[in-house]
Amino acid sequence: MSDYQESIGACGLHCFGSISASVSHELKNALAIINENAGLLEDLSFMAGKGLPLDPAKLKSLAANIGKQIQRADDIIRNMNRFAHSTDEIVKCIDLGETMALIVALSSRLAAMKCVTLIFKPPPQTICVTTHMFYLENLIWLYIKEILERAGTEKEITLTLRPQQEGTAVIFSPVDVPVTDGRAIDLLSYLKATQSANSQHRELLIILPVDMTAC
Amino acid sequence: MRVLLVDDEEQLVSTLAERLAFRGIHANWVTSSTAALELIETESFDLAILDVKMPKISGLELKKRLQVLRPAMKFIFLTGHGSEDDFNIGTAEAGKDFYLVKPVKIESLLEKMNEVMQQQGDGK
Repeated sequence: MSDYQESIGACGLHCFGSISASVSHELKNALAIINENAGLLEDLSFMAGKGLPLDPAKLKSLAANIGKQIQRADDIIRNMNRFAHSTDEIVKCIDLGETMALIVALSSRLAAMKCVTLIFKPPPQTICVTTHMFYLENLIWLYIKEILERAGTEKEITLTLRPQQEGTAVIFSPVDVPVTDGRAIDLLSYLKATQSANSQHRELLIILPVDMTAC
Repeated sequence: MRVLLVDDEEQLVSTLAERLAFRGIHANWVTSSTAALELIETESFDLAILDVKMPKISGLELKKRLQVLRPAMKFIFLTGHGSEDDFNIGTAEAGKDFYLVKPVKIESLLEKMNEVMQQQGDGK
């Protein structure tokens, strides 16, 4: 295995590990909230046994809180499951909009820690590319990570997809300068993608060819 | 005992405060380190229960700042780390703080609160 392939492999493991850690933290929070709401129900029923009247509105609100957190945990697990399965097939034709939405969802906690909101605007029509799905996810995640690191006072980063003559552009805005992370640059090259910054429109573009597998 | 709860998960801190109130413990809660630093300017607390990972200012950093303002204050950390070992690896430099892994049983929290309040010294 070449140093280049080893570097890409290590980068993939780092991405997978970081996203798994973030997901597990978020699940822990959802479980902690369920635990406190269930505990409060227990406290209330104990107090009711001592003669304190039960408030039906309070019970309803606690049950709703629990339901909301179960839904949150289910969404997190569903996303993680889809992400884990992205390694099933080495190369396939993927819906770029769905893949972008998944990576943005999995990066939302990372963004929240930087007080930034990531907004993905899905394209009006399906855009497909043939690629190494996991490596593409890894690439987008590395871009998000670096852009968040230097987001400064920008409170919202928008991601969009735009069909172009040479393929599809993944656009990050407002972003002024290209990403410099060496691992992202290696992945760009591996996926036959390129990047360019449009400082006038404050856009950073990753240009993805339709077939990204001819490496 | 006056307790300050800080966690960016509002439902967690608000419900925990209610449960502590049932047990005769008054707890104020806020959802950011910035709000905690503002509150501490006007209120006094014996103990702060802090989430480790929060936006902008982490729980560990918040502890350092609160200690400067309120040297006698004691601390407990709540962590979403997978295990106590994970937490120790990540926060070895923070000293022997008291911490609990989420989700926390109320009995374990009360036990830890008593333990930390009986602790002698500077709150480290």
